[in-house]
Amino acid sequence: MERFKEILEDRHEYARAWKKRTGGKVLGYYEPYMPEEIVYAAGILPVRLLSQHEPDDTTDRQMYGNCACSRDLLNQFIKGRYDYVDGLVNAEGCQWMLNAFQTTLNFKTALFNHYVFVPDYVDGKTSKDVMRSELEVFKKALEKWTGKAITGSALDHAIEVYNTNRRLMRQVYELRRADSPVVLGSEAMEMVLASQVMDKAEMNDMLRDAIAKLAERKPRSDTGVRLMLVGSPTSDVELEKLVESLGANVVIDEICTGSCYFWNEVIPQPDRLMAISLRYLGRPHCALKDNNWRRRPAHIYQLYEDFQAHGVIIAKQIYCHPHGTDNPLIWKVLRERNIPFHYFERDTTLPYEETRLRMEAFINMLKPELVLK
Amino acid sequence: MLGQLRATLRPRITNGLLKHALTYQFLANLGRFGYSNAGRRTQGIWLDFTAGQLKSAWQGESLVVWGNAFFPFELLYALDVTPHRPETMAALAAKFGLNREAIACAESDCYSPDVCSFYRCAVGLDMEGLLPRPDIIVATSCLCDGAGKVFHNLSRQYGCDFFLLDVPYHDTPDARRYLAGQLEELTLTIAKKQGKPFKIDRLIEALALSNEAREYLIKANALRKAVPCPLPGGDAISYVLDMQFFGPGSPAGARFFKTLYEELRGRVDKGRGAVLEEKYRLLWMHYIKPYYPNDIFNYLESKGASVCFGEANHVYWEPMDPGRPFESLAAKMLSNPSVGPLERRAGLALKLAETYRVDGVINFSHWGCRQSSGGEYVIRDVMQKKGIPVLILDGDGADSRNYSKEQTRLRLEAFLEMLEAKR
Ligand code: SF4
Ligand code: SF4
Repeated sequence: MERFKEILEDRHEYARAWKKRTGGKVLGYYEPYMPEEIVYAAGILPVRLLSQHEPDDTTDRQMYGNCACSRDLLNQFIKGRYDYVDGLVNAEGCQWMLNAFQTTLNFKTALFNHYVFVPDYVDGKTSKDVMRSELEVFKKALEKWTGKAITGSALDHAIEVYNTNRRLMRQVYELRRADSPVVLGSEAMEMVLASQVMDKAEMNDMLRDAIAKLAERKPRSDTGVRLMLVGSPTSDVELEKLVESLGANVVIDEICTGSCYFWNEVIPQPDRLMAISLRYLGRPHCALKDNNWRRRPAHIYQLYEDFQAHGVIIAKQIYCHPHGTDNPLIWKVLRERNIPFHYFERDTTLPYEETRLRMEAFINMLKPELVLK
Repeated sequence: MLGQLRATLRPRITNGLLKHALTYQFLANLGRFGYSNAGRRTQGIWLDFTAGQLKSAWQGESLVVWGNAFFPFELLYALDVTPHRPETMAALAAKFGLNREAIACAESDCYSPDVCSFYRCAVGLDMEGLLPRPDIIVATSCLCDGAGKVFHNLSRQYGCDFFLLDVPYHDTPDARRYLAGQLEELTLTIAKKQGKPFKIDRLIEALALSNEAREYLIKANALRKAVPCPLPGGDAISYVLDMQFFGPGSPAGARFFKTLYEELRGRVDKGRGAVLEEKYRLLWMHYIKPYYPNDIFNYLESKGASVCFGEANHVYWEPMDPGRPFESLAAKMLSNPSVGPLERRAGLALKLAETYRVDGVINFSHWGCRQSSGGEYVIRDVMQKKGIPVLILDGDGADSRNYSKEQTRLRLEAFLEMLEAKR
């Protein structure tokens, strides 16, 4: 388990070492709709750009009013933390990330770059065709960049590696349904986050190993109140750890850097790009893409029930508009179903004492639920 | 005591009046006759048009369809529905001091202060019952992420249909087909709801009117190159822009821009400008300005600075082909320079600065604007490389709590001094 944590914390080192070992290229990407399978099939390492906790003393003259997540990525680029990245891809997500992408390219002019349009109307009649044609263009751009064709068998292999990863992560998450889970919320989240910056084949080996070890663990008796985490993406496990220090446990999440990242698989079909398109359009919608049908509230409710949570924490990044505008409906649905929830706004860093007080109060309020459920 | 009574009664009376169709009938008449007779014909047409739509929306004369600024209203006119424009209402609420209460209402209902103030204000107005009930709500995914989600929340509130027009990032043949397909689907959905067949002739007619409005807007824009510039910058980004968003496709839209052109022509011929002695010419970047009482434009004009053009008024789209109506509307939407890579918008800024021979650029930085905030420094760099000074002016279009008169004035003053020193 420690290894996941180490890789997450030393993610830049991990990528540099990978590059040195394989001689391959690294592609940084901003948003969860980036079709990683195609990149992986091209022999490139896709790395999700994750914010970290370094003081931001650079972006004031580049961005205004953006969320800390997007500013932080720019800050890291300015400071050279991502100097090993050879290319950048933005698969259409929120406008703040688009700003970070565009502003970075303004001074990182030599990087390969590509924008993948992902329909906001994910359930539209022709959305899958549009997405497929975007993937075709993206595939060609990668081929041109690397000078190598992406073959059908390479795509099949990438799909298999990624699907295996998703299945293994689901196995880890399934363990959290138990009354006394053997895995803590912070551990599970460390695994998902690490998997977004790692070579998936290597990750899969580590995951198999970890699952075998988890099977030998004794169920914990100290996990108390069961919580669900919903909201803007995060790149650390501080909140989960804080909750654990208060005798509670996050048993499930619905965030795009968590369960939404691996929840559904590519269902193989002869048209591989279509199979990938359908996977991304059919994933649990992020707040931004959850438009015409608004499937997100129902998905949240389903997870809440399946993992027998006692309450929900909604953590929104300050200035995160996709969640800021999605929340009214989430609130409404939770209220209608009498689900206790606590809403708060955070930065990439967690204001520790203030959050501890809030969490403590919420957890105490939920303790009677332990008896009732 | 009297003050307290007034404070209690005033909002009640105002709110009562704002829900009444007769109020709008009165305002429409004021626009049609009063303004026109006072030589303010364009404003009169706008008032008549806006109040007329509000009157029929409150009376429920036909299906009421709410739409956002980047939605092609030509479609709605072709369908003979009653369009309603919540963003216009937010700007008007700011102008008449109803914004603070509305925004506070929305914030009490989980809309965090980092959601665009126009949407918070519109949501609040709705919560106060000041917007007419919709039958359908439509929104575009451009220019910003806000419209779709907020409009959809509102549709859930009313239990009415919602339709998002998804506008792709790149303007490609595939993208046009995708968007045209959605436009057609939406049109048929609305027609079905109306229970009458959709008449393509009506759409052809609406496109012809839209093209006519476009022609006159181009001509009016050309007149703004004159020194002194004949149109006050503040007007250009208020009722003129409102008409540019929501008028095309309607007879009033065509009439408005023809009249605007004639008025400006008259002023140019007489050598009359918005500013008596034009010392500096400025370009305004952003689709909006503060709509609550503020002294930005008055101050600039008092110092001889004329905002002679704004990116919002630029005609970026080609005339539409009535033979291919849905494709033409899709092409219009996709050719917006603010959709797609930032270079498009930066390139436009540069082109406009040169065309209108400006001395400097004011980039209005509306608090937390998804569409423009992130790119403004890139645009500033592009302009500065060409020696064009840029002021990034922080502010808020609808939330007056974010406006500081002194601070704003200080920044404008420093900018004008810099322009003076550069001469
Ligand atoms: S935190 Fe929200 S606004 Fe910021 S990048 Fe993520 S989704 Fe976008
Ligand atoms: S001002 Fe900006 S954030 Fe607000 S609606 Fe317009 S584009 Fe969106």
